[in-house]
Amino acid sequence: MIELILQEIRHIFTSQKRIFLLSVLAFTCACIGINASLSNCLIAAEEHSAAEISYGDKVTYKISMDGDSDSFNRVFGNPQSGAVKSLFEALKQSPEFTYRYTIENLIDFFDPDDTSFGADDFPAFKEMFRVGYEDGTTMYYDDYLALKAIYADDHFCSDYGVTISSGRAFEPADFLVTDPEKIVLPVLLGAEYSDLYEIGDRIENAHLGTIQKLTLEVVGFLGEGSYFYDNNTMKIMLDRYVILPNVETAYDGLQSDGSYDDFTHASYDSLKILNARLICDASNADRAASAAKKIFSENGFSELYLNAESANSVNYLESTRESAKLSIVITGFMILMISIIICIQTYYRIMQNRKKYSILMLNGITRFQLALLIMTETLLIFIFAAVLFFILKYLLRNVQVLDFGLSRYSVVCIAAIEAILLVLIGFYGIRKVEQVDMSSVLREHE
Amino acid sequence: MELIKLKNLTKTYGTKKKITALDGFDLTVQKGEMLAIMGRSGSGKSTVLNLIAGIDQLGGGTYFFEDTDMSKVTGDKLTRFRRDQIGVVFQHFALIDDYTVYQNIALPLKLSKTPKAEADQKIKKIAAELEITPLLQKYPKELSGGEAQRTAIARAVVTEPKLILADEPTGALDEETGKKIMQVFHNLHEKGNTLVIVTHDPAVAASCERTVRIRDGKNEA
Repeated sequence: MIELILQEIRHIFTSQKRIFLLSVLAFTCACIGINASLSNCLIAAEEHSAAEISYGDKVTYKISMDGDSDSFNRVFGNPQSGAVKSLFEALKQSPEFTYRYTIENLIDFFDPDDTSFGADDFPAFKEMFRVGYEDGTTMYYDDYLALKAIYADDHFCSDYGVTISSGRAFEPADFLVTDPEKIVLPVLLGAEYSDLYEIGDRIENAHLGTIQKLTLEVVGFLGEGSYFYDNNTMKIMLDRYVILPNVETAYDGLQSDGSYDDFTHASYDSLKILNARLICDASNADRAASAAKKIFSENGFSELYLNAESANSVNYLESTRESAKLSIVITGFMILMISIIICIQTYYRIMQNRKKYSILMLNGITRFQLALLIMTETLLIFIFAAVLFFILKYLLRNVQVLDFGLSRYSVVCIAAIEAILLVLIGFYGIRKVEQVDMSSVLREHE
Repeated sequence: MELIKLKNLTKTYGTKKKITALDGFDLTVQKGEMLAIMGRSGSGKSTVLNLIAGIDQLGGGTYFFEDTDMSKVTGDKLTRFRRDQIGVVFQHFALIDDYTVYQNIALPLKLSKTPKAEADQKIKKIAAELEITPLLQKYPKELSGGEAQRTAIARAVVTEPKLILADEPTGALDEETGKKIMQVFHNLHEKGNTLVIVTHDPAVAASCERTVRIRDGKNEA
């Protein structure tokens, strides 16, 4: 049978090469189309799902403030730390909305006693910097480094579905600092950092917006490809992020001169307020907004206002839904078209080779053997189309014309389509061959 | 000893407008016999051959091949029957154009998974007997009519079938080549093969041991 299949392949490459090449081109184009539309569909579906996880189906308000640095210092400066703490507590306790204060911000690393402190001082840190720099998630200044970080609230992992690959997630105790002299903050690191650090490692010289040094202790690593949506609109990949708890203090931190200690101030500056979200049901939106404004006013923060994000969320959700639907329709259309192309091609091939198939049947080819022979060309089309697909992908990406990517879902989908088409072609081919009037064909004179 | 027994064979074609090809045809073929079925065009003689070869399905009546009721042989069993028991030669040779002579002859052996060395030996033997050894690497389009028919005969007999069927085997050949092909059939007959030759040529029929005449799908008295 192998010899017959090899002869069939030889025949395809000599006598039917034009039709074969056209079929390969058609199938390659269809694969590119299926891949593009399916990838788009999956991205849209993923974004839709993530947007819903990120409160996209609820009404959200972002706490905002306008003004220059003077205004900012006046509202969130050191003397205000106690008031910020009160505001924070009031927002947390309000029954009218859910208060979420997971914030994306930088975390600085420097040694105040060493003005030339930099990446070279800490080999692992240097590598961390390099990893982060490649991704644009870190900045390197003359005497300090800054990594992008997520200051997470206590619902971060559960609300956004962020998984921990090793170690542990944050625990309630991680969000409370009891002794300002012994501050060791637990941190979760993105998957990329798992080669540089181990659970239990300590990272020194971290600063929470102050000159007070902190020690970070690695307690876990995030799963590879972890991400969260910053309220629907921005997908943040967490592989190169440092996640630390947006902590509260169990003491008031007020010193004899009327100021607050550095850590208290760092914990209760704008980090828990600006860009934090108030989340509520649509039916409760007006009441929630009123309650929040009342809390701002009662705590002396009239500069703060609420930025209504719900319309954006609704529009975003709608657009992702529409995008997913459109992509499904296009994918379906592509699959239908390619199925029709392959069936037509098979039909003409069988009609063209009906004498050959009749002779094979006369000489005792079984239905299974015949199906294999008919499927040979279709399988070759699939193989050549795959090769052409990857060549095109490589060339277009290298000349920077287009990078059409390839998701594993597309590979699975196209492989499944190919498998189904192959089986269908086998059955369809046998059926068509059996419909051929063998006795007439065998008597034909060419 | 009977190899084939056809009794009251009927066959019609078409659904709306039915055409009767066979209407109660009877035939018995003894082992080792060389028989001609003779009739005009449209008399039903090729239909008889197709039914015997298992190319076409029985309409009515009975067909026994040795002791096997052929109405019950279908699907891959019928395929194996065609491959192992029957060799068929057609007027226009029915060779696969993109296979060489060797590959055409080897076809039934490959499909029956005959070991390569054994197949090669059989092909070379039959090619020598039919004097087509120099042609083995040629393609059908490079052959004359007589050479193509010898190739078709070689393919039909290479599996040593119990029955060789030939449908107008000399119809596409000139008189001289036709005689040579008939000589090939006679040689096969002398070796003990059973042959049924469908023809409208009286000379071909006359050279066979026995002739059965068919007219309008019935035995002609």
